[in-house]
Formats: sequence, structure tokens, C-alpha cells
Amino acid sequence: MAYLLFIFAWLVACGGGGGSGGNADSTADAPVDETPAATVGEVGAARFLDHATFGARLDDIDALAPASDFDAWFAAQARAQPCLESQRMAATVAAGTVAIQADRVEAWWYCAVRGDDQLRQRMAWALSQIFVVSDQSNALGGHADTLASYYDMLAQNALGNYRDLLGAVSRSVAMGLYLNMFGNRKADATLGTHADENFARELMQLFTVGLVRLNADGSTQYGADGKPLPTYSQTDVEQLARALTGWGFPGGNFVWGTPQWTVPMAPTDSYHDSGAKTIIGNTSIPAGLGADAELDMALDTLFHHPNVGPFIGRQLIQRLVTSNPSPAYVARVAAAFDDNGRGVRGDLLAVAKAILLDPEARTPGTGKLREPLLRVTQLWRLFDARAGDGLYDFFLPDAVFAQAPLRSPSVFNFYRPDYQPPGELTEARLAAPEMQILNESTVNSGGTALTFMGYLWRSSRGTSAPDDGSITLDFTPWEPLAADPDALVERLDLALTGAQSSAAVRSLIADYVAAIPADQVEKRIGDATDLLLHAPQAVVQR
Amino acid sequence: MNLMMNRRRALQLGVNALGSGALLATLGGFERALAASAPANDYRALVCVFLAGGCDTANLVVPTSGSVYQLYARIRQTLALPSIDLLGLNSLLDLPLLGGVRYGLHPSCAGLQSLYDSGRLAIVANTGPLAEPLTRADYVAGRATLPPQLFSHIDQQHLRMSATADAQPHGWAGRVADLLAAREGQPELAMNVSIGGANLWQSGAETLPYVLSADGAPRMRYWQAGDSEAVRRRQVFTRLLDLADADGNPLVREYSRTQRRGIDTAERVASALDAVPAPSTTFPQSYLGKQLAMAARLIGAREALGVKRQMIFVMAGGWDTHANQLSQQTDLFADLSASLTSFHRATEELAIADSVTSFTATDFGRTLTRNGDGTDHGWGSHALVLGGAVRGGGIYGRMPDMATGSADDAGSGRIIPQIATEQYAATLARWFGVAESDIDTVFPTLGRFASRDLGIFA
Repeated sequence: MAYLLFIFAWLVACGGGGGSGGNADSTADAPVDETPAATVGEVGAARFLDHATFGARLDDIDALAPASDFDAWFAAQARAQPCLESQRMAATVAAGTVAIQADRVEAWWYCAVRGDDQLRQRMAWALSQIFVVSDQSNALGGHADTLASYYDMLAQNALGNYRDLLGAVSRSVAMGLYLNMFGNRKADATLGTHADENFARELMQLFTVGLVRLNADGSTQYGADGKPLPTYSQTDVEQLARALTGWGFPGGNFVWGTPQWTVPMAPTDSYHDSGAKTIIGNTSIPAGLGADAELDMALDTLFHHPNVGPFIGRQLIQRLVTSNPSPAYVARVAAAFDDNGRGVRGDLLAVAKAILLDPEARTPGTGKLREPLLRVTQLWRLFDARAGDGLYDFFLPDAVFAQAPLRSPSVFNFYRPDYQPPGELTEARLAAPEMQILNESTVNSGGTALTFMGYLWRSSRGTSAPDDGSITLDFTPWEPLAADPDALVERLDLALTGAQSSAAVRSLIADYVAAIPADQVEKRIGDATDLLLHAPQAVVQR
Repeated sequence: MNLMMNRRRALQLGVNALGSGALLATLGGFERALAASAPANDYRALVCVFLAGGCDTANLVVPTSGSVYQLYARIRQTLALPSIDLLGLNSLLDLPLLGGVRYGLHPSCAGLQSLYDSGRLAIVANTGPLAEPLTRADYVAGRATLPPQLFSHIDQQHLRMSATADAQPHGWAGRVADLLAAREGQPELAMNVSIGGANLWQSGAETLPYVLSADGAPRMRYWQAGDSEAVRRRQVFTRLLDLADADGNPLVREYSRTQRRGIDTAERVASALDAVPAPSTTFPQSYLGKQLAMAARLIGAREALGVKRQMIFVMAGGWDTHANQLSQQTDLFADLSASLTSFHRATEELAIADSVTSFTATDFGRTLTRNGDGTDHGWGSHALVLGGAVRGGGIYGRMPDMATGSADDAGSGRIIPQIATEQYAATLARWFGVAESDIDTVFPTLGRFASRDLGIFA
């Protein structure tokens, strides 16, 4: 609580998150104000919701701003019923019809745009870019149900404990098929086979500890020879791979059992390597423990490695707030991962709070490029987008944006956390992961797609027939503002950027709008939205 | 037939040597640059075909000679291709390291077999990242300097693309483009064009790749909505970019630059592509096939685009065959073979084959041993180099000894590379037009290895 008070006090000192001036360091000496309930104002609320949800809506800003009760907001989000893709698909896919990936992507849009559990969904989306599985894999392309249940599992654990999440991911059929723990069998000296190392390697490299030893602030530890200290060796990979053998469909028949695509895998003892192993950190796994207990022991070992907090914490910061968090910010989030204040390690709700309420998040900074799908969701949420048929049938967003849920080209996600585009950012050593999928082609194809969504499909609610699949925006609540271009643009800028566009950008757009005849209300709103959505100053979330 | 082919090749090589090498050796850098850009027909393209995930090249190029095939079959067990199915290679060249052993290609690679036998395709044996020449003894004793993060996908991709085991933020094609731009001035259209997305290979300090989609250059249709405000909206949008260029936030500036390049080059590239008929050669409808078809169209439009030198990146995924490898390889190699063959045929159709070289690269080779029905991350891998300028029909370098625990084995059949990535890359870059005096600038670690050129283009 004292921590929150500190932040509120600090925000007040900085003018309610009003945008200019101030930086995190200047607050170090700020006295801790004991007066409660300092408010962040509508700008602070809009910026917060822009980080924590799939897009700030005016009602949500108005609800959060007056009391700025973040504790209550997080508590309500943790209580909210999870929006589940499998439930949505059960409702949208006709009985007797096999769900396909298009149905799954529709369910993703639905939960992102309409789900009440916004924080959970936003965290699930971030986690799906760390625990990557993809329908581009031959093994998973035909199993939309498997991927939907995987995403639901991420959502259900997104505000839970990281250790539980690790267990659920490791036992999932989706991950099993994607990184080959499904069907991984013990070595056979006669046949000259060894255990499959795929999941063992990526479990360490991508899902828990990373390649090199980290300090608590995420910086790399170096040895006396000046080289980064590796977290594990090839031998550690091989040993862990042995511990992860024997998993297949439940029922004791390894991979030949009755296919069950939406329930966790189970081990078959005869395919498990029951010998003793020594895994990362010289941890001994005794012989004969059994596949299930060995998996848990391996996951416990990895979960308690000091790298996990900074390694995973930094990536979650990047997905939610900024591409280049300061070491101190990473350290604060890692500390929350290590201990939620009640002695619990891996509490993801505490991690989400630490990320989203950190002074570095609540102050505008360099920020990050908005992910393409988040540009769409923020537009659709702001204008309560719906289609006549009730569906969000935009099932190939990757064709224009190079991004779609659970459709990464590889386990390395759409972009790498440390990606630096060539040129100024590489020279400045600044990461911009999302720019790995922004290029001369996607900037045009994505920009054009957004124009179609925001500008050409602007027809108001009620004009589309019940069987019409066009997703239209509802401008009705905005119509009174159209008469005042300055007010219109300011309000749009509040919701779409957290009021981070410059006065010059706003007046440029407002002047353009003012020249549109006042009776063309929809055109004024649509054009203003469209221009703002395409302004580089708004694409970068600060 | 082979004799005629060799005579023709020899004549061609002789002309090349007189026409460029001998002359250029006598000139300074500036004159070299002028000479390099002067002839109207002086065009060269390097096409990198990146096989993402780590291609199991041990099942692409396979020994067919009895005793060596037995070693292969013993370590590969159920993953070994039947000897009788392999497509035998008739080597045209007498390369000493090949010895008397004969090799064949994966049964899906009939197109590549034909290109090899006709002298268009060369194989580079066992290349990969090395920090220094390395023996198994040094490796096992832990007394050697090794490339960082062996066996990790992303890190090994970066080492292959940067062509050094040392820390290096840029790719070798990016560095080549930087160098040539410094010599000859920045071309209007980027020298590096990617059809396979962002990649380190083309990332330079001064030059940026242009990223094209496999379907072409999508235009920004923002102001083509057809309404009365379209022109005015474009003006406002352009002024928004002006404001972004002056913004204090480097991400905003970067986005703005990308948007400007997107607008400017899309119009230009799309118009140039539209102005020239696409080659009639048919390509596979795979992602790789589509990308290479677009690469051929780009090369066909070189004059409309006003370019003399192009490095093109295409990428094909799916090579991380931890499971179900034999079945997956049948499709993967068939696609690779058919796509590369179509690409070469298209360059012949365009009468530019002698000026276009395509080559493969991958994260790493895979373990010779199996984990069941798949393989794990390895190290050295074989590469393919294809084009009219290639001295094909040969395997360059020494093929590894596939016996368990051999001098080439780093464990589990992870093969220690014999040709460093920079040796392979420098050979390609030299053909592309990097002067010998500049080679060490682009490849500062090349001097650690004995041979500076693999002789593929001799």
C-alpha cells in the first residue's frame, strides 16, 4: 500500500501524468505523502488503460480517473470471468462442424475487444509471445481446438503463478506437439538414439532462464575472460531432455493412445528414461522418480533460478510498456516476481501490478511501437466495433500485419526482445522488437488495412444487415464532438495515445477536419481518427 | 556433353578473368569502382536462400560409395536414405578433397541433380561458424575458443549472417552494401532487398534493406480512397511525417522513415515490376517458390529499377526437424530443389544467369545421431551455390567423416565445420564485386583461416 501511495504522490508531483517534464529520477527525493486517493487524472487513466488493456475506452477512462483506485481496478480484473476462446468457438461454430483456425482467430478478436477480463487477456497475449506455439506447425495447423485450449490455459494462469503456468505449458498437447516433448522417448543404445532436445533447450533458453546469467536488473554477468557467463551447457540440455521423456496421450499407450487434443499429456513409464540425471545448476534428479515427478523437479529447479524474474519480467515490460526499460525498472519487477510481498514467488498478478504501476510506466518515455493487432483492437474498442452477424471475422491479419494470434513463424515469436532495426536505433543500441515486422511492405499493407477499418468501414450501427460480416464502428457517441474539431481531436488523442501527440499534430488534424463541411459528421470523425491512427507519433506508445 | 560443357565453362572463365580481374587488379579504388559500374551489362545479384530452423544437410548430400555409405547408414539408422534411392552426382571437377568417394542427393532433388551435372550447381562441404581453426582434440579438451551459443537457433543464425564468431551488429550483406555505397554512392533503390522479412544479413551501418513481400510491393492506398479529400489528406499525412521526423523520440523518427521509404519505394518498385513482364518460367506455389519468383521479377526489372548490384534475401522455414524427419524432408527438399531450379531457369530465360548467384545458408546442420524419428541441433552444414558463374559440378572442401567419435565429431554427430562462415561469405562477396583490398574490411576475421577463397568462381 505504501508503494501505491508513493506512486500517487509522485504522479501528483508530476502534474497528474500530464505528459511533459519530469523523469523517474526526480522522484527519488519526493516525500511520501500520507494523504490518500491522489488521482492520476484522465490522461493518467488513459495511459494506464492503454498499457493494461486492448485499448482505452472513454467510459473506462471516466470510471478510473476520478478515484484512481488502482487496487480496486486490479482486484476487479482478477475477479472478472475469463473470456475463453473454446467457449466462444462453441457458440460460433455450428454443431457437428470442425472448428478451424479462422474460428480461433475470431474468438481471439472477440475476447480482446469485448472481454471484461482485459488485464488477463492482455497478459495472456503477452505470455503467448513468450510461450510460443503456432498454427504454422504442421502438427498444429489442423487442431484449432488444441490451440484454443492452449490460449485459454494461458488466460486462466495469466494472473496466477508462473510455476503453475510452466507446468500447464509443459504438459499441454500444443507445446508437446510444437516442441516435440510429445513422443520424446528415452535413449536406446542399440538403436543409437538420444532423447529429443527441442523442448529441453527452449524451456531453458526461452521460457525460464535464458542463455546467459543475469543480474537482478537484467544486465548480463561476465566472467573473468570478459565473456558472458552461460546459464547452462549442452550437457545440461541433454540431461534435461532425458528427464522429459515418456510423454504422450493419457492412458498409458504413449503416442498410440486415444487422441485427446484438449487435455494435458500424460507419461508412459516404459518410454521414460528412469536413470539419474544432473540438470542445470548441478541439480541431481535421482533414479526412478518417474516422469511426472521429474518434470516437476526440473520445473521447480528452473522456476527458482534467479534469472527468471529479470528474464521474464523484462519481456513482459516490453510487451506492456516499453522496449527499453531501465535496469532499475527491471530490478523492481524482478523483485516483485521473487516475492509478491507475502513471500510468494512467481505471482503474475503482482508482476503485472509492478510493471503497470511503476513510475517508469506511469511517466511518458521512449515507449514502444504499438503491436499491429493492438492498433486494431484499440480502434475497435474505442468505437465499439461490431458486425451485423456478430462476428469479428478478420482471420488473416498476418497477411497485412505479419502478426496473428498463435501464428508466429517460429518459437522465436514475431520479433525478438533484443531486435534493433538497422540504422539509428542499432547505432543507439535501442531495442524495438515490434519493428522486426515493420518494413516498407507491412507499413503500407498494415496502414492501408487500418484505413479500411477506420475510414472506409465507418458506417454507423444499424446500417448493416444481420448477415453482414463488415465490422463497423459506432460514431454515435462522438457525433456531438464533431462540431468542434479541436475538442474532437483532443478527445481522440486522449483515448488513442493517452494524450501524447504534440500540439502541432493535433492542430494539423483539427485544421484538416475543420475544412470538412460541418454536416459531414461521420467524415469528420472518421478522417480525424484515421489520420491520428497513422501518425507516427501515435503509433509509438509513449 | 560434359567435355563440351567444360570447354564452354573454361572459355567463359577465361573471358571473365581477362575482362575484369586482370584489369581491376591494376587500378585504384575509385577507378575500380568506376570500372565496376561502367559496362552497361555489368549487373550482379546474390540471392541468399536461408533455410530457417537448421537444415539437415547430411540427408541432402549423401555418400553413395559403399564403405562411406555404411558409416552414414550406421549413425543415421532409420533416418538413413536407402542407397538405391539417392540421385547420383556426376562430378565434373577434379577436386582433391573429394577423393574417390561418390555422392548423391536426396531423392526429392532431381532438379538440383541436373543443375549439378550440368555444372551450374556447386556444393560447399561442412561450413559453419568458427572462432579459429578447430580440432576435435582441442574441442574435447576445452582449450579452444568457440563461437558463442553453439546450437541455439537465433544465435547461430546471427553468426551465419554476420559471417564471424566475433561480436558484430551488422550482417555481411549490410557491410558489403555499406562499402559499395561509400565507394560508388548510395543507389536510389536499396542494394539489399529482402523478400523474406527483416534479417541480420542485410543490416548495415549506413545502408538499409528494402523489404518487399512475396506478392510484390504493396502501395499505401491511404489517399486512394477515391473521395474528394484524398489529396488534402495526403498533404496532411505528409506533414505528419515531417513532424515525426523532428520528434524527440527515436522510435517515432524510425517509424516515419520506414513509412516514407514504404511510400516512395512502393510506387517505384511496383511501377518497375508492372513495366516488365514476369518470366514465363513456372515456380512452385510454396512460400519459397513465390519468393524466388519475386526475386526473378526483381532481377528482370533491374533496368527499370536502375540497379547494378542486388543482394536478395528469401527464407524458407520448417527445417527444424526434431521429429518425423524423413517425411518432412521429402517435402522440404522437393520444394527447395524445385524452387531453386525454377529460379535458375528463370534467370536463363532472362539471359542473366551468368550474373546471378544464389546460395543457401541455415542455422546449423543437425546431429547425425537421432532422437527417434528426428535429429537435434548440430553445427557444420553443407551449402549449395547455384548460377551461371559458378564452377559447378563439384564439392568444395572436405566432406566430414561420419564415424562416431571421428576427428570431425563434436559429439552425437555434431560436425565441427571445416570451412568457416567468413571463408564461404568472402568467396561470394568477391564475386559480387568487393575488391580484394576491401575483403578484410568486410570480413575482419577472415585472416584467421588459411584459404581466402574457395575457388567456386575461379
